[in-house]
Amino acid sequence: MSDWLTTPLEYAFFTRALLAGTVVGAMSGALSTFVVLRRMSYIGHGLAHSVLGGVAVGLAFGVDLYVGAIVATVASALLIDAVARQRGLHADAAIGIVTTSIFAIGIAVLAVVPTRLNVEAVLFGNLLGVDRTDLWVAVGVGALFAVVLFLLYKPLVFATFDAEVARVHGVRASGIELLFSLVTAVVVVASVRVLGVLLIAAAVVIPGATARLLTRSIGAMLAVSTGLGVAAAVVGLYLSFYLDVPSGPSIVLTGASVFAVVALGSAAAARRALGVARRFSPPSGPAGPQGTGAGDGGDDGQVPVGARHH
Amino acid sequence: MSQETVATVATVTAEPWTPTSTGPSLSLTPSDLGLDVGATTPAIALGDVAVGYGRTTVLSGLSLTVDRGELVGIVGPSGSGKSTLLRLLTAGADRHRGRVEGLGGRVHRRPPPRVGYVPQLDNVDRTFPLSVLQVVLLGDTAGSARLPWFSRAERARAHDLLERLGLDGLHGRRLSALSGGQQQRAFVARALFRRSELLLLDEPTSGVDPTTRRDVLGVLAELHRTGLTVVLTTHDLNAVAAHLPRVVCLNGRITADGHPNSVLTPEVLAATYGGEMRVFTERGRVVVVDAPPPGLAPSVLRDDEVAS
Repeated sequence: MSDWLTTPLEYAFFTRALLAGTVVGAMSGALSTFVVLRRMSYIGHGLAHSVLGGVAVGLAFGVDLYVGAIVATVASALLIDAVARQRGLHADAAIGIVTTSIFAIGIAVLAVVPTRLNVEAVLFGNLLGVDRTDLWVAVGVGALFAVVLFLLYKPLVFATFDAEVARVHGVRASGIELLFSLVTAVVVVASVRVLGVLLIAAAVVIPGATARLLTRSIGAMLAVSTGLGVAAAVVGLYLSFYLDVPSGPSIVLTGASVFAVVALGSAAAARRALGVARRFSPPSGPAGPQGTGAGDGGDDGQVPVGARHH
Repeated sequence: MSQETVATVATVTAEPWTPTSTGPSLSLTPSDLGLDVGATTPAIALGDVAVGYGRTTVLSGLSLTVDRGELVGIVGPSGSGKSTLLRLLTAGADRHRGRVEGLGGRVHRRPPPRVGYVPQLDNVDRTFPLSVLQVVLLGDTAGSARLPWFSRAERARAHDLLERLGLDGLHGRRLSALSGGQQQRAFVARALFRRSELLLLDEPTSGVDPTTRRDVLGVLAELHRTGLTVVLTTHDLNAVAAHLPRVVCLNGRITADGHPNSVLTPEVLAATYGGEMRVFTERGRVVVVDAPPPGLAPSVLRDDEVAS
């Protein structure tokens, strides 16, 4: 068993990927708490598309992958913010317009200008492709993200809960929202190598959605989603190593599997709780107290007829 | 309704208001709320204001003064500008013309520093994973240290406020586990937690049952008695506006301003709502009744039934 765990660590590329993946998993997990609560699941999807556009344009001009990606995603975040402020438009329309346009620019550039871009690695993540630069980018962005979260946790929670009241109560809610978009953009860029463009969106949603089902306070939700993000990254990278599949899909499928189990479990728990409530709720109507015979709320788990219609 | 009729409506000085609360007494004092009892500037002063969104003007010709410690209801039909007036006071709408002052300072791009805001319950995500105590604590985020947690003193103050507002023992509950009246009390507590001197409430009794409505109004009455300035919007003329010491009628402009007995007249209501309404007096309090719709009048509502 331990060999399964230690063997991959003998390879430097895996150790690098594991470290980067842990940081990326923690960042995307923590971020997902706010993405889910703000109902902005589409933003990860959109910004990831912008990454591809930025990478393609950047490579066409001979600049580093990260430079093109960060310019494109930050520009996207600013444009989304500007478009969403137009009266009658909401963030979903802004995300759809801005990010798909930048994605389209990237595709057009790839078709016209020959580049050495490994499109598959950018789209799905590549365990072998994580180098020291990727690791340092992930660590640097992770540290920045942690500082921002530490200093702005309360205003961010207030603006997420009720942006209008937060604004009236002295919180610069619009600035917080813009900063949140920029942080999301930077986290998405730092996650590209490990997760891939097309799968980042899932990584900034699934841990938060899973934690939402498991917890009742935002602090617990943040802690659980961060832990789930790390766990999905670690397990996913091992699966990627042994099954020889891209790292992005294995990480996302690990997280999605946990979500499926938790969702099924909480649905079953809710059904059980409803059944118990029905069994012990006071009967209504004449059929209730006397019941109707055999299945009268006894140990067989039947629900009294009088309680079925509550 | 002519402009002359509006002009004849006198502004009546606020009278003491009898609270109708069904909940516990708040036992609040001005110092508990941090009220500046010596302040002489008006809580709100509007001078010939036009306001809207972008190039669209929603309200114009607004001139209004609300003194410290007043309780004022803003009434008007949907789209009349009630919420826009609240946004004007909190720098959330575009001022096209005029002067806006709140708590002695000019309101430009930022809301006045000691304004508390209570939104409509329908606009709040009550499943959000926050406890009642956390909701209240967030009310003074701007005045709190830049740390992810609140201090022991802040938590003690929030506990005390919850206790005074009748929510003792509920601080650990989720919002969704509270009744409508308790939720409104929690949001009032959040608004007061930043030591607000002006409390703005957007439709605080919208969509609640009569008991909850009495509870909410009772809380506001006690806050008013403490000396807090309270401005609320409401659709409810009989159950809310008729009980307030001062009512401002809006429909793109101020159509009337004063005591409900002076303001809630058929002429003013026609100018405000654009339809016929009948006004009766029951034990000194006005009662507004919609004119019976054509076709329903004979079987549903007769004049003698209304009069009785």
